[in-house]
Amino acid sequence: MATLQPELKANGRISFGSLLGLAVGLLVLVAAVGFGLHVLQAIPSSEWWRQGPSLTNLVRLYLVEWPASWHGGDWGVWNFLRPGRGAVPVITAILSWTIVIFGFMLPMVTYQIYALRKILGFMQARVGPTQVGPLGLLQTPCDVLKLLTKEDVIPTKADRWVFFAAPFMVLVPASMAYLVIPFGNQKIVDGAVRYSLVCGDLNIGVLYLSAISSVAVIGIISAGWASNNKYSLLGAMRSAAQLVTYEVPLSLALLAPVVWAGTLNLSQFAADQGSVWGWYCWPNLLTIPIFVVSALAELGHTPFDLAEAESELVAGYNVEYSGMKFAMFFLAEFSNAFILSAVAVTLLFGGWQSPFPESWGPLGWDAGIFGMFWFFAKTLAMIFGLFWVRATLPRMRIDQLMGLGWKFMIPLGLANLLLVAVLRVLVG
Amino acid sequence: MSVGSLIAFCILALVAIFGAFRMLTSHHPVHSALYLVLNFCATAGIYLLLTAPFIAIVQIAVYAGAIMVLFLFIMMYLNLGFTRDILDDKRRRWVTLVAAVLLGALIWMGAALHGAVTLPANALPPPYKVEEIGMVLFGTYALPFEVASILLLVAMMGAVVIARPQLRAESDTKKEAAQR
Amino acid sequence: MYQVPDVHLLTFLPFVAVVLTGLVTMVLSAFGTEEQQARLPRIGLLGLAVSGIALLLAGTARTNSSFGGMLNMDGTAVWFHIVFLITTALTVALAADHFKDLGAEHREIYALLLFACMGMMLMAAAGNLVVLFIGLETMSVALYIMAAMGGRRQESSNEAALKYLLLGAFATGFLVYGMALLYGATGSLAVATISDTVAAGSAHVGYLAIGLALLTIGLGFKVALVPFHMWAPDVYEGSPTVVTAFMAVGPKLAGFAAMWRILHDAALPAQQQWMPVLAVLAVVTMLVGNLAALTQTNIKRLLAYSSIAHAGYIALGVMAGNQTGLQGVLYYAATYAFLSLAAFTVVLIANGDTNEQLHIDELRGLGKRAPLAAASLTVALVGMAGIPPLSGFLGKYLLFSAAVQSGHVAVAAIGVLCSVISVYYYFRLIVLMYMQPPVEGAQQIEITGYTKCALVATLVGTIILSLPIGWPIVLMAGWCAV
Repeated sequence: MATLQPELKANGRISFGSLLGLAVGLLVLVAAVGFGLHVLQAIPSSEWWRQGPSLTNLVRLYLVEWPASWHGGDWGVWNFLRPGRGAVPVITAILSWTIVIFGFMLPMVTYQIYALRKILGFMQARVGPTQVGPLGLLQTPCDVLKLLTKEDVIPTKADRWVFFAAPFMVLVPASMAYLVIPFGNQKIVDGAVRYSLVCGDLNIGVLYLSAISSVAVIGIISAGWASNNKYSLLGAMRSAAQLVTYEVPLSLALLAPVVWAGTLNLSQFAADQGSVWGWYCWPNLLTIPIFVVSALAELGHTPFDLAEAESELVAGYNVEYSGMKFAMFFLAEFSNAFILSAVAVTLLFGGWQSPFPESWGPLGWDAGIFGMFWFFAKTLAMIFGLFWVRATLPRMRIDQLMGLGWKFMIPLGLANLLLVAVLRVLVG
Repeated sequence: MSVGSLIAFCILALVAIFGAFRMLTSHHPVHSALYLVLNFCATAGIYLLLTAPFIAIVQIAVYAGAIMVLFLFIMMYLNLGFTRDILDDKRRRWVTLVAAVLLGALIWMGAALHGAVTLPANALPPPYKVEEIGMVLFGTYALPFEVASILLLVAMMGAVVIARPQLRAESDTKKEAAQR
Repeated sequence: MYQVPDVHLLTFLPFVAVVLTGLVTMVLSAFGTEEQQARLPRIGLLGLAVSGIALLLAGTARTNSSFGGMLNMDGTAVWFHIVFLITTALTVALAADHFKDLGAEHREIYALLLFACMGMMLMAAAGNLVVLFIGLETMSVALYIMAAMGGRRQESSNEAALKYLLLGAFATGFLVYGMALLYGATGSLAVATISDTVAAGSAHVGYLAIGLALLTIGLGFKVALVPFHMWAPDVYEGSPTVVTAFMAVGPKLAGFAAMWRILHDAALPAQQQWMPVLAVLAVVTMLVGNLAALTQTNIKRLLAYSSIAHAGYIALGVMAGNQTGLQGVLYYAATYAFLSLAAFTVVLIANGDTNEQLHIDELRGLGKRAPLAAASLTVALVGMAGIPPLSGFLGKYLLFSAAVQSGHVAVAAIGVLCSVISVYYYFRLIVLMYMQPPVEGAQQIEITGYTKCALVATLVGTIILSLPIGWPIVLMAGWCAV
């Protein structure tokens, strides 16, 4: 029994320094793995990562090209089942989707919540989770397991089908957004993509993102309505109003860098920016606050967490949900925090580009895993910023929220768009 | 059309038809709206098969993401209850049937149009890239594109005017004062 | 690659003037002070006047076409623009005096009127079906809103607006499907290209016919051709009278302008296909409009059926599709605008500030109570009936002779017969005004300010268009029709 109830550590409070140390340590670990692989392959420069087999390339080589070489012949009607044709991309897509959700989204969200609790704890002079595992590191995985095994309650008077479908309507768009995020470099040799760390290199990536994110609102109002509970319906109304309102300034903030870059393709965005002085954040200095405020509102983070204001109301649209379905809403919410940070990094802060010029040697490397390192470093910093705001500011009132959205953010977004367009013309 | 895209088309078309059918036959307006969303998403998929990703995305963003959200919002806000099936009414059933047959004939004619005429040389060839659409929108179609903003402005004014609580005219209050 | 559209500013200036004025009035109606808001009608009138001057300048421009053929500012367009500007100006004047009587402060009506005016101008000048559609929608949406500005009579006004909106949206569906089929048949949305394709015989005949039919249905709704007229009496009755006055003139004429652009400019080579259809529609419209007007006791419904009948006459000109036809359409458009607005102005005057449903009996003794209004209504009604020498006669003469020229003698004969029928219900009103005693307790009506200006303007307009000074204007219309 003693193991189940470990003693409270006497000096449970962790310092900002140790947190920073943890983050730096993680980044160093990633860099070390990359460097280790680099040395292992005994190739004298980062060129190996530019040319060599990545995971995507591996899949392509071993699952598509190699089997295709077995059966060169015509399969007739069943040609679509041949490797590299029709069905294979579909299967690959379904597989990679599963991988994205369970292999990336779930762990990422789990530890994002852990980080949130630790950071909030630190900033509010508390300790955060300390008990389960070292530094409480196993606390959130345990929470996930708990939610997974919890009884799934459906209220008697709920609209069963809509109640069942609503969490998926929120989670699916959230997971679909990963399709266009460039996690790292894309190498094209002789016109063919050798490897690429973006799942779907869509030409209309930014549009795709804004379209996909606008669909999730349907899930949220459906959830609130299907619960057949006036509090959840009220919460859903508030959430929907907030999401619909702040979608406009968010889209305007997305448009400004699009106007500057002249492309909607996120890989292109990242590839065009170069080192720190080439990042698009400089002409878009006004875009950054607009983006951050709208993103906070879209995520329902404090100071805009009116819909679930836990110290004032019952939870919000998800009040009747329990178990895995409840977890799915949270999964989507924190996943969106990652997505929005990643989009901000890709559009404004150079994506996977190293902030240092290439002439600086290893610091300037941004191919393959080095690109991933820079991408994740920047995205995590952005998420940290969001958490910081969350810990600092008090909650707004609903009328202030709506007033800010319609009367201030949207005009500001339009003005900013105009400003960036004028700058673009002036710079040429 | 390859077999793969044929299969994809069949699945999407079946989903779209199912969504449309259930949209009509659902007894609850919220269910109808959700089936309509399903229908829109399947239609967007068909646009993707036609190598028109821009239209597909716009379909999702505008119809599923904006219009249907508004519909659902209003329905839930007003708490619209169960409706009688329009197909329950015998007379309406015939009217609906006639309308459906007429519309079907129109669509059949539209479908038969495929290949009947050659598009002009200046029409955009697929795939319809978003850059090209932008060029056409701001070039050839600049005028209607800009005037569309006036149209939207008028519609927005309408929303404000109709939703605004009615103010009473000065003459009314004066009259009332005089009566007292 | 990107090509900057060839904007010829001169041809585009009339639109800019109207839109800018609309924006200014919109902003002032939301944020202006009381004084500024009192000046809104004047600002609107000024903008329309500026647009009129710009229109004259546009007439001197080197070229008709702007935006790569999207706008086609030929004589027809300019003529229609002048009519629309005058219509809007008169409605603005009426709104200035009568809109506040509704018991609600709908200052936005000036901006909406101006935007609707721009939409109508676009329809008349459309060189491309997309422009036509956007113009039509701008006009329609503005009208849906204005129909709902009921003030004290909010419920009937809401009903009217809802009916108009639902049926209008349905009609728009027909219109868009027709455009799609036309695109399918010819591969283009540009009026000139469609015309070339049809003339070359490379358009798909079946789809062209169905597309034109759907377009005719869509526009037939907007101009209230029978059997697409069902909405008109209810909507005219329920809407505020100022809006009804606008609705009976502006959108109807704009619809005919659009119909001319599509049927004549784009599809003249297919005339054999649409001519009989339009002939039948015109005949039915004239008959139903005039016969139904005979039994009306509500003056707004009576004028609604009368306006349906007039749509039938104008459809004759479009059906003929020849130069006399267009000349007739243009001349009759101007005539009808003045006559109809005069009639509605008098309705507004007779109604006072109550704006209740006006029974025709309430016109009794108007000749004594408000001589100027009664005289004006008399001129308008006689003009509408087509009695010489008033302008309506000239217009009908042109339209019927166009029908005869195109070989539709029987149709023209039915038109004449219908005009004769219409004399009955028009003269019934005149009899009521002059030969019956006023209702108990009815007072003298003072006509002042904007209303008086509007009344005099319609009267003067009608007289100028009438014989003998009307002939040069007929010739001018003929010149514009080339």
